[in-house]
Amino acid sequence: MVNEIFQYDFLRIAFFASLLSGIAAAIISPIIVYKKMEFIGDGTAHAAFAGLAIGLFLNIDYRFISIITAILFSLLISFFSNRNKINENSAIGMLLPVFMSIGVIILSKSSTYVQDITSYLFGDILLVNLSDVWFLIFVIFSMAFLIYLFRYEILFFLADEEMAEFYGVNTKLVRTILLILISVSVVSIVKISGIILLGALLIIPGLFAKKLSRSFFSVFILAIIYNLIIASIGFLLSYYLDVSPGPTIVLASFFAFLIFSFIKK
Amino acid sequence: MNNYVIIVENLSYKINDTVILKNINFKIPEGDFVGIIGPNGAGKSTLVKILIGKITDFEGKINVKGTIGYVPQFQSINREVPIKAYQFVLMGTYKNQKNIEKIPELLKVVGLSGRENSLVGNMSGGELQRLSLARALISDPDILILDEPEAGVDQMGKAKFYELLEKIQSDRKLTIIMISHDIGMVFEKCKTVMCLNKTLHCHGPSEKINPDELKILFPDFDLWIRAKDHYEKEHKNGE
Repeated sequence: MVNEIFQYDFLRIAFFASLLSGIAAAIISPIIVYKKMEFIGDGTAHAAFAGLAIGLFLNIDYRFISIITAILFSLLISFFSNRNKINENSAIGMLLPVFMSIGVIILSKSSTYVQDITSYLFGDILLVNLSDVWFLIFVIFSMAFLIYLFRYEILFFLADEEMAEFYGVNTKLVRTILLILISVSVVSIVKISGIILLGALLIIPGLFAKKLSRSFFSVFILAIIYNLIIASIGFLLSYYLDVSPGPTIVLASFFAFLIFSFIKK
Repeated sequence: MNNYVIIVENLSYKINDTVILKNINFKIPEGDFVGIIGPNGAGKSTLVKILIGKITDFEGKINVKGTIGYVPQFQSINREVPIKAYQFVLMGTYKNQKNIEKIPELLKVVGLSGRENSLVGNMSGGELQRLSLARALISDPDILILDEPEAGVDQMGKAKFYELLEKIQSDRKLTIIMISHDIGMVFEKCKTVMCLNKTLHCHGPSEKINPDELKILFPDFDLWIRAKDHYEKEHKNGE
């Protein structure tokens, strides 16, 4: 039965893309969970929406613009929390609707408004093309490389930010790198999972891996395995039940985590 | 002539209009073991943050000779992160990874021999405190500054920790500065006591400071009665 899926090019690409977006989200997920940046991940996804809208309006590649709007969002949060001593979550709560509003206004001026808004809000895996797959592969390798390169800095930053700074780790740089990685990861998976559903892919694998890992390396591997299994199950279920893949993957992830929480306290 | 490792002159620090520290002056000679006591909000932690260079917008002059190792209070550690003991100690020598070879020996010194691969999150309060000490010592500092090392550690752990500090000081010829709420222990173990409440109330050898004078600063009777016992015992011996 699985063979049916692989008969069609677009389904093969869609399946492969959902696995890759599972990996792209899982790589950054433990960092988001350990540093309690869940709200930032979600906010970044909404900020990427403004980029999507600008891309569609100007008829240029949405990825580049979305990465810029997502990074701009992260930097603005840092600016408000460092400069004006506004709580980070308040800053996110304030800026998230601002970026969404910009997106909605720009999209309302574009002819593709109605059909595109739902596909980007909730994801449309069947819109994915080969260039998205290549972009995901590029993002995954770049993220893995950067996290490996800065593995000690990131570990020290997560475990004890105050002392890491005292011992000479450039924590501001580490924070900026992580915010950029979150932004890039979000933009690479937004077409598949959608802005609103993206949070589940970013957060649940990290929560799962946190409970089982015995080392900093294993936490990433466990998160990736979790998202790979969930993306496969969710994709196949959505095909056989004839429902949308994005929400199916999100629900599969949540119920798997629920069962896991009952087994492992 | 004494060789001073820290000289503080006319140090004042304000946040907006609130005075945190006012006109502090002291000198700490090499090899001293200083206990800083004072009520909550007295500016003890602020003084430490100034000494380690974390706060820089103060008034006055600070002269520190040598490198500083620092053991903070527990709160800054995220115990959920799967960091191993050796990685945690490695943080203390982030800029000079050559020191990595010293880790097994250092863990032995602090009583955590063979625990290189233990997860920090699974360690007890006392073990974690000793691990923080190893992290502070790995870069061979000249001065060791500890901010309430007894916080979150049980009574047994505390006693063991102070013994360890004394041993490390005599082995390594360190200058130690320690903030503590355990006034009794400070009077027993520290060579010098500094009492701070925004200004420096007293500073001198522990046996010369009469805890009665400090009673007004410390409403917690239990804490200072041991200091008083120690003072009376010292004075009897002296007679």
